[in-house]
Amino acid sequence: MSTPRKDSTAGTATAVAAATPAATSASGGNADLLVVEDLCVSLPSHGGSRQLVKDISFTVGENETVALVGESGSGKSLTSLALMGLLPRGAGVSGSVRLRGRELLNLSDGALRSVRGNEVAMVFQDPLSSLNPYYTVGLQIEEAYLAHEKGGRAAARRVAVEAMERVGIPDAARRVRHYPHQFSGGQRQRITIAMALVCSPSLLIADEPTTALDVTVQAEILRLLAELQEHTGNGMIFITHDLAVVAGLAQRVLVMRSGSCVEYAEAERLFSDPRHPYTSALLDSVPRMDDDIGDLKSLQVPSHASPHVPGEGADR
Amino acid sequence: MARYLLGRLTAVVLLLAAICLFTYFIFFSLSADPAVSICGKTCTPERIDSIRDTLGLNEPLLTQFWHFVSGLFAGRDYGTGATAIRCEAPCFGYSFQTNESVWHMMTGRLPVSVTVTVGAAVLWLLIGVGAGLLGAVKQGTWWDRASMTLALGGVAVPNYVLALVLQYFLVVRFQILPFPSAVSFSADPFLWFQSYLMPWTVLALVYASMYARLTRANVIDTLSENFLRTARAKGISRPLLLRRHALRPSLTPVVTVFGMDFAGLLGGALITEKVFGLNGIGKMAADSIAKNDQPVIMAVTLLAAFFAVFGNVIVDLLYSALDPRVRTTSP
Repeated sequence: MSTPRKDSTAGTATAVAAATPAATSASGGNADLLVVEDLCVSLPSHGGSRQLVKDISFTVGENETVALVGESGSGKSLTSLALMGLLPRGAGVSGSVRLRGRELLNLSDGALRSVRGNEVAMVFQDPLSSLNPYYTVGLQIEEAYLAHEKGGRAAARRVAVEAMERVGIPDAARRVRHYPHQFSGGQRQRITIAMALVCSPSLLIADEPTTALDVTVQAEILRLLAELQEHTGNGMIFITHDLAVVAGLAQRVLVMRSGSCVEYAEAERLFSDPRHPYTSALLDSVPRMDDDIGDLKSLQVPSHASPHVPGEGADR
Repeated sequence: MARYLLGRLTAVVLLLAAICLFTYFIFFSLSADPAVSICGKTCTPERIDSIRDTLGLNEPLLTQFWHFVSGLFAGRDYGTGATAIRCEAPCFGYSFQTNESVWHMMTGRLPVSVTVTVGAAVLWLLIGVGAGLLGAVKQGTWWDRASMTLALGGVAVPNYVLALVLQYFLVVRFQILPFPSAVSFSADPFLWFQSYLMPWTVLALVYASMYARLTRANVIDTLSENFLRTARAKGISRPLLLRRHALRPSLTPVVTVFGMDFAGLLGGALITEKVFGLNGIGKMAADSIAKNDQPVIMAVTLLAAFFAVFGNVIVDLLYSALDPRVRTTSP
């Protein structure tokens, strides 16, 4: 069995520093915000348990974006849920996740709850189903704020309106009283982003935030995420199956397959010089405007690159 | 909204009219001659003729139906001249058995049915929704299994069996409760409460079992929704998460079923009333059917239909109050 190539964390950091010095100075010496080491996740299945994420390690600095890329079922979403402590009951997690040096994996439920939404916030894939249809968007943004900040309803409402303005919802003061179904898909995703940002988290996990949206809206949402990051300096983990989306956004990319890390590299190098056949296959599968129109390529990777049969999809 | 309501109410009126017509023709054309059954055993042909005349039974069926319907709204006279009997609106006629005004019978018994229904409903909602929620939240645990096994038992045991068992133990054997008696609330509140306790419990347990299963299934469904994961990711507390995000969406289908069940029971809890000797609409219906008392049968059928149809309208209105997606259109 082949060992997937894995750049060491230190090596990558220097590589980034050498390649883009400007970015490094902007992030203030690139203090590591989040350090993930040897993260493993297993879920119970058919009487046993099955390891769906294996030895994933990466770091995210302040004001930095790291992309987790892979096919459906490659374990990207499970990885992000593990960081948030949102895995289903019975899931086994090992390894280490440190946020500003504080270990998250062994926190109590209560302590973890005070991290969730506060220091680490998450934007989910499908904005149609990730907002509760029974409550106004205002209330749903407010409760994110009230879960962690002291302050009354009135303060929360002010914060909610501000957050909606910040993510570009016009007429926010009136629209806080509207229900999710009264917004378009793109607007709903803006609202979930507003909800995530309301407590100024230092880390934002965006789990395929643009997958359910059409292409023009996708671009708007990506621009919004980048702008907000520029403003707040939060670190970001961006999860996607779409390498094209990653190109302009992430400083580093971690390619996952069947729960394992296939390649972890600085984005520019990954695109110009993919070292693993799976990465090149992924890159080749993206249709390009300047290509001859031929058959769409499917992923064809030497079988030895696949440690086991891909598990059931993590994102349902 | 007003337009919608108007449309609904029109449909309701038409539906009730159709039910009225249908019931009338079934009961008045298929069953035995009312004049004979009123007249009793010692009867002469002249007497039967005079009864037929007074009730208007010699007229064509459609004319009779018209008299019945206009009697509902404007009242009617039975017979002519000095012997005429005035029946004020709403006139459902007189019982063949007791000669009592059917309308008065109904208004006298409705409070009993309402008391039985409301009390039972409060109990079954508390027990059913509570047990369902507990089962869903503690899914797979001992709590869950125990409450669901009880619920299955509750659905399986017929309520007259439960009623008799309760009566035997609580009234006869251990004499914890007095035998249910028709006492009004104002006369003796405590005795009133004790009298209704068993009927409430028996009815409530049957319904609570169904509601527990329904609530549990709905809450488990809701718990796997994406918006629940979002709410959890916000770091809100578990009680708030369950109450606000899991329970409310789960209760909408429960409300629908509840409206229908509640309305159905208002039309008479036949078996329970009979077993506990309560003088409600249900017992009235059972007695009238046993004695072929057509005006009463007609009246209780219409009453039950009225409750069912209006229950449905109210459920629809409640639904739009509960679910914003039904309430509003796009901005």
